[in-house]
Amino acid sequence: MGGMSPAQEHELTLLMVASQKGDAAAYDALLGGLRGVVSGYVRRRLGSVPWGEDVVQDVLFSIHRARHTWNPERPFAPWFYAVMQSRLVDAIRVHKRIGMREEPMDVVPPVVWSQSPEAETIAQADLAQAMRQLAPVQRLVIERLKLAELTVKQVAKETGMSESNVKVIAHRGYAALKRLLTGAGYDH
Amino acid sequence: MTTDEVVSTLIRNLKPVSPLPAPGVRMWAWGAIVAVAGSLVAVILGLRPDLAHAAATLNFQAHTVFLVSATALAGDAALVLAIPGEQLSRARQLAPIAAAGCWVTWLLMELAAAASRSPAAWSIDFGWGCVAKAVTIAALPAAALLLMVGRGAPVEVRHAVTFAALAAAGVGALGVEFTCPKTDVMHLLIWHAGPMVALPVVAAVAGTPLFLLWMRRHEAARP
Repeated sequence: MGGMSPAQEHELTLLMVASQKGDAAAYDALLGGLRGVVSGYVRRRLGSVPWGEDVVQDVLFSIHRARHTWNPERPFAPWFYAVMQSRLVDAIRVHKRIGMREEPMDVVPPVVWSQSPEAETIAQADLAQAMRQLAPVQRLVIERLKLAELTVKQVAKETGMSESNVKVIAHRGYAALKRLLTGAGYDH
Repeated sequence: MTTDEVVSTLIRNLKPVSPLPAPGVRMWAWGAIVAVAGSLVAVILGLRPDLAHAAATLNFQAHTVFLVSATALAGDAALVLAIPGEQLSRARQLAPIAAAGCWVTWLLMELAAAASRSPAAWSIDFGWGCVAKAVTIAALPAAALLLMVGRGAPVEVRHAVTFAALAAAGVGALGVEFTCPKTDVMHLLIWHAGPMVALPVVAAVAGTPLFLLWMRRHEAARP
């Protein structure tokens, strides 16, 4: 199944059996173990999306609600992965819908740049510094969109992210960039 | 809410739960509900007067076999899909549809034979009474099956709801076979088989959002 060793599955199975009986300590250990597996799985599938932690929480909630549907005579991993995969697909679907509805900012918010060459050099240096302060994934997406002039679709393909993901990350990156540049003294 | 807070909340709300029985066991439970409730309602509505004679005919026997198969296989599929991680092979998914398809094909063959004998075989009557009977007979088994599916955690909700609707429609069609004395094939095709085809389609399109809504409320009320 990837991400869960047989020994770990055995341990989680025992914890799940105890959790179904209402053992809070076992449940604490179970959720702790599952949280790591879910986080790793979400990261591998989605990359560093801003809503990754929401998916992790949603999966944990779903496991809690569906815990009575696991039969202790059946293996734990297929049940767990089915719940997790289902929540992940739902989350991707929701964010795709949001991405389609939202108007992404395809250009950096208009900045009134100074006309003199000296001022332009200073502005470029500040922009580069602001870019360095962005989250790596935001920097990557903005660079690929603006410097390499790729389309959202191309960036999505290149990074393995969904198009809506790329749009959301770019949108947040632009907003962060705007804040950083405003803080550096530029007028809009 | 942070993930740590979510984990703490879940631990605080932990209550002992009884694992759901295996889908096969639940299928037998539903079968018992169908047998008792379906038969009771069919008897209350009135069995067809020529039942003994009709039961001896090949057509009636074929209809019954196909309908029982479609109902049982669809009910089983719905209950399997209610459990995350349970595998429902492509063959098991197609089997109920194939059984229902066999019944419709059988009826079409009957129609072709009847039409070759008399053009009157094409005449269409109004059989809303049969649709009402089917709904009445299937109501309780359908509600029971949806509750049973909802007690699970279906991952493929649309498929689960569609199979549940097919199973419920099968119960209704089967009940009508035992209560409606009409043997005109067009009547059987339109008023007996029609709802069985229409209901799963309607359920897949309109029933799924309603079922999801009900599931969310049901889940919210669950500890």
